Amino acid sequence: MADPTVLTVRAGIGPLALKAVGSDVFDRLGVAFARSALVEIEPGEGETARAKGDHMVVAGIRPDEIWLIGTRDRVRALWSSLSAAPGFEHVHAVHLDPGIATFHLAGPHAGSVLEKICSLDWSEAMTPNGAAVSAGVAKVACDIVRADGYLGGSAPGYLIMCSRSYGRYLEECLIDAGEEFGVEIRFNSLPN
Amino acid sequence: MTSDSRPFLPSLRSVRLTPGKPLLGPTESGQGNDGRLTGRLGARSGEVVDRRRPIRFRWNGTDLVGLEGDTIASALLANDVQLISRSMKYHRPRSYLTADYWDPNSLVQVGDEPNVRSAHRLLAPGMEVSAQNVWPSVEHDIKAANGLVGRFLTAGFYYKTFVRPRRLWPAYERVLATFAPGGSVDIDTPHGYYDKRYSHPDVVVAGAGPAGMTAAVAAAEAGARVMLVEHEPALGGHLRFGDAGQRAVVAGLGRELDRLGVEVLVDSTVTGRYEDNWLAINQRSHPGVVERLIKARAKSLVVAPGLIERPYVFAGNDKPGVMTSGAVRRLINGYAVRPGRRAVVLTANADGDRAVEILESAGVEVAAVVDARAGGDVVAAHGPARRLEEVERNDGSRVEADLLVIAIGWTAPTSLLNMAGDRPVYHDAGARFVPGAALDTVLATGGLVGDGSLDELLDHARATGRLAAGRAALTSHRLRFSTARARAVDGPEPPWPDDDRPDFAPDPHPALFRSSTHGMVDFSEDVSSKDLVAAAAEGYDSVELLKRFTTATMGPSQGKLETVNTVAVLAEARGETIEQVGTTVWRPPFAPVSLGALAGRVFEPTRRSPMHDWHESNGAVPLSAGVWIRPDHYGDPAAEVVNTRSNVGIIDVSPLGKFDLRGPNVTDLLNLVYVNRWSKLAVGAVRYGVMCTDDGVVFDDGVTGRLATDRYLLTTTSSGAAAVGEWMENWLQTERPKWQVSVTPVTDVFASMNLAGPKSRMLLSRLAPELDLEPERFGYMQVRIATVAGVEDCVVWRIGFTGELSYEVHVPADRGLEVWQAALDHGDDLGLAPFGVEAQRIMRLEKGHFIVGQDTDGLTKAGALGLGRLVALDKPDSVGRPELVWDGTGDERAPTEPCLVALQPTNPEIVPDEACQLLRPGTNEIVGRITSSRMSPTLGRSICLGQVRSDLAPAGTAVTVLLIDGRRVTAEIQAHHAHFDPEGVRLRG
Repeated sequence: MADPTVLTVRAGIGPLALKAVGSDVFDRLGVAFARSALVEIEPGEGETARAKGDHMVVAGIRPDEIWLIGTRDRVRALWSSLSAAPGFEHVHAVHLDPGIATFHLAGPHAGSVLEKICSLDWSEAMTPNGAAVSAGVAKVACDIVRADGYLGGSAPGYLIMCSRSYGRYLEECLIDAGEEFGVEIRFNSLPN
Repeated sequence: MTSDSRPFLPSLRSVRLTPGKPLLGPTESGQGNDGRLTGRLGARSGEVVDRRRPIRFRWNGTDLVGLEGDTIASALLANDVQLISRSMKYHRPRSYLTADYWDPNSLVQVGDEPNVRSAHRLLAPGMEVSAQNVWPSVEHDIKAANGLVGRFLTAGFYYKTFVRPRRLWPAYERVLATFAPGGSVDIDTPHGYYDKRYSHPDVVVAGAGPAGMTAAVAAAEAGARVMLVEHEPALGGHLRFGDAGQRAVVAGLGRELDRLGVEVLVDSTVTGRYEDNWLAINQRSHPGVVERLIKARAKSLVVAPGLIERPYVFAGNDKPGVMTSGAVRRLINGYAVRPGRRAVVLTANADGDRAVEILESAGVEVAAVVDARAGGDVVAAHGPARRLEEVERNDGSRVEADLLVIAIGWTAPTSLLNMAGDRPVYHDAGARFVPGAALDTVLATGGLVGDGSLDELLDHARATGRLAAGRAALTSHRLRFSTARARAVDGPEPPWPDDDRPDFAPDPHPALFRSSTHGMVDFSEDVSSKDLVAAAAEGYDSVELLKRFTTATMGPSQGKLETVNTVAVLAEARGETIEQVGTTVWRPPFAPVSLGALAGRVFEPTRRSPMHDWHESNGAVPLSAGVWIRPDHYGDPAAEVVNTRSNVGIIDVSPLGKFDLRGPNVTDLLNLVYVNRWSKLAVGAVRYGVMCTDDGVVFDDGVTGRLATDRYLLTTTSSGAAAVGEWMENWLQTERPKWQVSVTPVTDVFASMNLAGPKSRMLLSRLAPELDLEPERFGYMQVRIATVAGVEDCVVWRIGFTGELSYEVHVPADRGLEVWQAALDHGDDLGLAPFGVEAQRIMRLEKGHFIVGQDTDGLTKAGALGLGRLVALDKPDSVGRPELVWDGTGDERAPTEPCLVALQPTNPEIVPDEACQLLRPGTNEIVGRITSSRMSPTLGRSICLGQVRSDLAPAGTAVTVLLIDGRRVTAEIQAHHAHFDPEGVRLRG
């Protein structure tokens, strides 16, 4: 039996936006606009392994803006180390995580679910693993990062982020779109 | 559909047999049911019905039984029901002509769904089918009396007869509406679920006959992602009802499609082709939904709809019993239904010849074959209105028959090519239109292009599929090259694939459109060849004019059956060739689309604040404020006002737009987009600003606080946040690209709440004990970052939209509810109570604070708002400044220019409705309007804001308010916008 497609509602992670107007400092991070990279977190001293979901994503959301996406502590820790690096003194960090609703949609039907509520081309050629894109999803402005394996497995996976106030509406739309594919719904603890 | 492995389903137990009507017809091939004109035949190889799965349904209230796989039409004919409908205008008796989707006589009512195409819709258990637009019954339709005066109801009758006197048109309209065709709709019918989907296939193939299937296979083999769309419920096109060998071809192609992973949509229609191959596909077969609209962006489109058999024009050609050879093939070979007992066949091609064989194989007596290729012709069908009895040939002889089969040629449905810009050309030898100039990414194949052997057809289709895939690959390469997120292209751009498909053209065919007699041309609209000739004689001799004047080609068949005959009749009337007359333009949709499918799934985004659930569970009455759902009030807005003015109130203002501004040029940006000055805003200070567009019209307003040397927080109106964000980005990216400013929308990052009222300072001191709230150190229009209720990094503003001492607290959104609840816990003894949007609006009106969009409109310039020196015209630059300089901001404004004023009706009990007109006293001259009005709980009287001519704005001026019930009352202009506390003592306290 094929793995199910899973929608994790309120994934408990959020972005920290780094903005560098008129600077090429982001080039050093190796993440171009509209692309993203999965960052493996090295185990800390005394730690033997990290659980799945401890990954972080660095995404070139806009030409002058990258997002560090992950759990709040991990994101802040990474920014803390980055901000001390030369060239980053002119980078502005805006903690968006309290204001962003995040969904993780992964599995063999993930692209088909998105096809029902978003007009972008989700094929491998146009939106491969690592793609970062802004798009309207069910008429809500969203930032979407394709991050296969973010929560484990190798099936296509997407982090879908919208303004928090749209969260419940988008949640309903995603669940509705996933119904015909038997998408499993998992809820995280992030409230409202 | 006839697999022997299927068990006999228990559903048969629910079927009650109608006495005298065998359930399944004869069990062996051969003669049909005795005494009946039409009926079920014995089992036939290739039939698409499942005889072990009977389906019970009702027709006009009578219980009938069909079979799984039946259309409504085949089930009705199997039950010896021939009279299906009445024609639109003359209510002439009609039966099936083509027995497919395009059949003009097939519309029926199914349950509460009107206009169902019964020759296409599959039978379903329990269907309630009835004839529509008849009274009292399809057998005895009183409106058939129209036929008696038919000679007077020619084309243009309505236009000419009811054009005058014009005053009587409403009366005419009421009567004519009762003659409108169509079924009935129950307005209480629940709206079904209509789905929507987007798709980006490399190649879409429209039509899954042998050519379409072959093209799809070839394109997929070339590496393309292919979507194959078939109008009918199954693949195969005309081969679906062919012989065993033809059906084997279809089966083989089906296996190839499956192997290659081609997405196949049956009972689906490409209804429109738009720019860049944007295709609208109506999928009627998706499980669980009524219909689904697929918006597909195809890189290549292959058009392979096949051909549509064309009716023939002669006297009595719409009589029940006249049908096309395709209908005969479909009914006998597919549904095992005998269409008649004794037939005459008019044939001009191989399909007509084959119809003879098929009829004979079904036991139908073929009384005569009239070969048009040898000069034979049919000139009339005779018999009573509801039945064919005799066929008259062009040699004067008459043949008894109850079935007349017509095979005189085809129409090429070039609609999708038309929509791509192609203009079909008439192929004289083939007697049909064919595609015109070749298009790059819209390629035609199959019968639409030409005839020939099956091998030749498949060769052309295969080449077309490869060509479509090749050109799609080139498009894909270019898309990936130009799209940042796409997978990088590998290698150089592939070459443009040339069109090297084999030649393919129609075979010679006799040109047969109208016999020597006149008959029906448009069966859907009851337009005869006589009508067309008369219209041409009246001067409507352009085909596009003729179409609109007579409505020929504009009915449910949408020209698929009647366009070519219309053109031919017009050509004959004009004494010209069909090529000279040309054809009409086929526009979307290719086939009618339900309104439900067009509406699709309704996306109506809504926004909720972090405290939404609290409001809901505490009795808030919701208010839709744009996309936000906000608490309008908690039961009594007036009491909420009184409590806030007396004690302290709390309101959720999370929708307030917010932007985080950083960078060395923030002040420059603020000076540019606001009309006031920003250069000397100290850290911790707040300033109110008005934003204008280029023409000086007020666009938005809000306060901006400087949180740190390099950090500002700008707020906007709730509804204006998105527009302001785009406005600032537009100026930064296009006009001031060198400025270093980053603008980050943070509306949802903060949950915002306003503590308002004389005890708000006390309340906040409990929540933020470390924050110095002394007025001299945290005064009006100041901002601080503080810990509130244990939550760090809150932004606390001392501002006052309500006119009260108040503090606006912006809390990280994920802690918003926590702080809200803490405030309620700490404010109980202070009389703290929540208030909603309505109370806020009352209080701001008492204070005279305007709302952009409510008290302003699309012409209101900043100078009209009485902002005085806030509008800094001496700044070197700001958006709208030149216009404001010209317009003025004070007394120099033209007397007719409107300005915002406060008004109080002389009668304090009267609250004029918003938008009531203001008149110059004693006249009907409109001098302004009320923009906001409420009964003030604080003042115990009605209060208003309004816009009035500047020369009537001085305090004490009386104006007349025209109420919506026509009464006129007097109101007096006030000295200040503020009705309450004009000095701002409470605000600054």
